[in-house]
Amino acid sequence: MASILKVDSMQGVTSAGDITITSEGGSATQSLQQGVNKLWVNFDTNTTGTPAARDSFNVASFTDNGTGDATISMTNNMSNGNYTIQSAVTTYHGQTDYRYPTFIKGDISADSWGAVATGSFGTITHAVQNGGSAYTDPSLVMKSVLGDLA
Amino acid sequence: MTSQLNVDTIVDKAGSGGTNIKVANNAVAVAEGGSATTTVVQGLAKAWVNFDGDASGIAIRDSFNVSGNTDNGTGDYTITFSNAMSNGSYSLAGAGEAGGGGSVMALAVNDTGGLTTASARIFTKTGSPADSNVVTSTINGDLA
Repeated sequence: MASILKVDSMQGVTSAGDITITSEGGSATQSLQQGVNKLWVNFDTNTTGTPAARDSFNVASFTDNGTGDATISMTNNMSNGNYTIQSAVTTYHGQTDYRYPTFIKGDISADSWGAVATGSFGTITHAVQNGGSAYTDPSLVMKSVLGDLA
Repeated sequence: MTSQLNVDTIVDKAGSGGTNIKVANNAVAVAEGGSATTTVVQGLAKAWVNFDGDASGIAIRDSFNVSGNTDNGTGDYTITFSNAMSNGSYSLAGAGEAGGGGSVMALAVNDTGGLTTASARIFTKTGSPADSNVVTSTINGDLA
């Protein structure tokens, strides 16, 4: 008979923040905590005022910094600003000559991660067309974060 | 009473690996830093896929919770899930290969109807939709 493990909280014995699980292939192990997403969000920036989340995990609030420019704040902070951020963004149906890449907000000229902090990060979305680009507010932007929680 | 299980390794009772382990959907784990907790099930990726979008009919290289991909046309793909999501408001992230000639190969989703509980329709674009030899995508959200 299959067993079911029912618990409310899990922590390692050797290190509270490091539980090891056996891999799918059975020959390796990995840290459970390291493999879990620490944030994900599906949100609408094309609204009046502050962007609105349709659904999210570990997102406390948004700040609207202007067209195509938003800051996402976390409920539980990361331990440092060196986490990874994955993204995808909508395309407007029928506008085949456009693409809408979404970026991590920083300062390339200063080689700076200025908008990536332990409790928040900035996001920039462009509408790119052959010959130029401009900031834009699409109706669907998605982000997720992997890294170390505090 | 709140229970707490202190372990270093979790395997199934047969000792053959972790594939039979079930974790309740409200279980939390202590974070790496030790000062916060995170909901394990909320943080788990619910699907991922690596496929060749330039192959005839699309070729999946590896995947999790993906029953198949549909080639809807140039740079236009539908990923179908084995186990459905609970709503269409999940988060999708991914990448295509670098575009040539200074173009931007962006991964995109239709703003209307692109995400459903059973599938996600995605595009790779360098201006107009374009097939990508490597497309990777990860789904985070709530399973049904």
